[in-house]
Amino acid sequence: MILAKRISLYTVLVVCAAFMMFPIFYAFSISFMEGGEVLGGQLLPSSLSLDNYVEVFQKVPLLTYLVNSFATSAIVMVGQLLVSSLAAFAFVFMKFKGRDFLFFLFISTMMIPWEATMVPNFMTVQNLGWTNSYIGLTVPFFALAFGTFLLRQHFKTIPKELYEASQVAGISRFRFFWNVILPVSRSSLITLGIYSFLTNWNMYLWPLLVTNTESARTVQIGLKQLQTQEIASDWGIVMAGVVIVILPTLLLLFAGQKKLQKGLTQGAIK
Amino acid sequence: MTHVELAGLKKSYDGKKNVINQVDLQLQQGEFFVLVGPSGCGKSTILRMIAGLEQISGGDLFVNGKRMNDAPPNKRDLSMVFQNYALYPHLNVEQNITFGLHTKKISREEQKRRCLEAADMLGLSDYLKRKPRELSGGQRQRVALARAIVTQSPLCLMDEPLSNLDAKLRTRMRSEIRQIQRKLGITMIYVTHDQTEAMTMADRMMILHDGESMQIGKPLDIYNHPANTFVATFIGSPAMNVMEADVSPNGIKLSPHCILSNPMKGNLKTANKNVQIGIRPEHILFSAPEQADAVAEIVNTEVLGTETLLTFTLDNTKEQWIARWNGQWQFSVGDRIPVRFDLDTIHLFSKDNGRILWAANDGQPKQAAREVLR
Repeated sequence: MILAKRISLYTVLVVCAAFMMFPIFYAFSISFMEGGEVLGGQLLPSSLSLDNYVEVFQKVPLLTYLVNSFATSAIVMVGQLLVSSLAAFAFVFMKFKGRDFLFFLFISTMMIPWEATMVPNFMTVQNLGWTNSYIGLTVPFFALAFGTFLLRQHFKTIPKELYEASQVAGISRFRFFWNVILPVSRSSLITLGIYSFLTNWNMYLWPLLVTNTESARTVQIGLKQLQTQEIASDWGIVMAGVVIVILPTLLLLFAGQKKLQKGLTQGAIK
Repeated sequence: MTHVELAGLKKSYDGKKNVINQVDLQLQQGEFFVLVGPSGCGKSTILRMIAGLEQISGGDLFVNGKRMNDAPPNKRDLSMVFQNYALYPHLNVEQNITFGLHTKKISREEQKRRCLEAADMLGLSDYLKRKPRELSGGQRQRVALARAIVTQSPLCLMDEPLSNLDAKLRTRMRSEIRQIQRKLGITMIYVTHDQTEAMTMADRMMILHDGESMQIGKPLDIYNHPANTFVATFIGSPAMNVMEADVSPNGIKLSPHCILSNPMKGNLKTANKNVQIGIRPEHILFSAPEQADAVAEIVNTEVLGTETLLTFTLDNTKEQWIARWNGQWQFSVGDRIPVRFDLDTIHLFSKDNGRILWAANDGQPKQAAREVLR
């Protein structure tokens, strides 16, 4: 009875996993195929040739795009971590009039879809002359209500006495933030860091708006370019590009997951 | 020399109601002073005001004669031990102990030396590289203590530092803290809700109730001379029996059949008033039937080994009294036993405001230890 239950459960899980994984697997498979094989509807390539990978780097400046994406994602990640953690620190450890109201206002910006603010943001960036630069791609995303909220919730679990003890010891506020709060909140910071890196890596609309030169564009636009250019019929090359683009995402997820689990199981404070 | 002085200290959160009302206190250098009271009485608030973690709403705080109302915590030259220890979870014991010392411009070697000294004093030498989560409750407590010691501040504040420990460890730490305080000669302000801690540790103590000081004094003086019914019932375990009684020139009537002779001998100020009589459990004695003041009906007995606690009623009244007798006494519920009240130790309190009206004893221990030794 239990065995039957288990078998059926695993069958369902396997089917679901196959269903979810199939597009990725197929893309991976196509990336090794030649044009004819793709059109023939083959599931597996007849030979493992890396020609498509070589070609994709030659046809579009994929390397530049990768570097751009990586740089902007990293900058946004650092910027978001800094701004969010500082804001969250203020919302938890500093007492000032209207603090809770301000936080509410802060959080309420999460209800505004970011596409709604895109036009004013674009005009601001354009007037500042930040188009086609890392600044334009990154700075608008530094302030993140979600990140502030996430870190605030974690900071609130840190005993107030730690702050008071450091006050008695004469530690400055910033030093306390840097030497105590940040190390103690490592797990939340990693979570937020991965989240912001991946979000930015996958961003399409904003880079499309503020960049129009090849030297400034990011990978997601590069992918679209592959599709729209004449090589679109050569699906092997497109899929090779796709695989290269999702690779860092997957790597980061796998690496981060381990760190994340470690951070989460590190144990409570008392 | 006066070290810390509170003059008319007040605290109010909403500007209307004072949670701390007019607390006056002078602490001598090297004194172990305990603030004791039930939870919510404001003892921690007073401590936090002294530390500078809480704004002072009214009155003055002087440290070494200097007004310190608005000084930030680190300028008050004090150390503090928190109830939950407030150890930094990501630092090891050594880093925890020396954390913040650099702000006092202490060299690395000196920091190290002080840390080792404090660790040695508290038996932490083997744990210096461990993280707080790898320590037991008692060891964490000691780390918190060591952190206070290494600052070498002349004033140390402790906010219920032992309440997270089990009973056995608490007793041991009580004596350890007291010894360290004596050895270092620091002034200590210690907050607790545990009257046993207060009685056993304090040079002097203040009993607080609803933000007001009820009584300040040496533990034994307070035990023997409670200023009101609150102090009388709060200090001492089990609590003093405080019961309503009618006082007339002829005697004190506790119940229809129990009338004690009036011990006031001509002092008739309180005559004919409804008063409350207070008598400690150890002053209700077993008696021969012919000398008995009353017959007690046993409601419950608790035999503790060295002593026995008897809960009883008089003449079927509802009020329950507690007596404490040395030794092991076995009684059954409903047993009727003759008892005698030690009239030299009774207290009379006003029924209106609970203040002491008259006390029989002069408060001195009947036999001082020195006299016995002589």
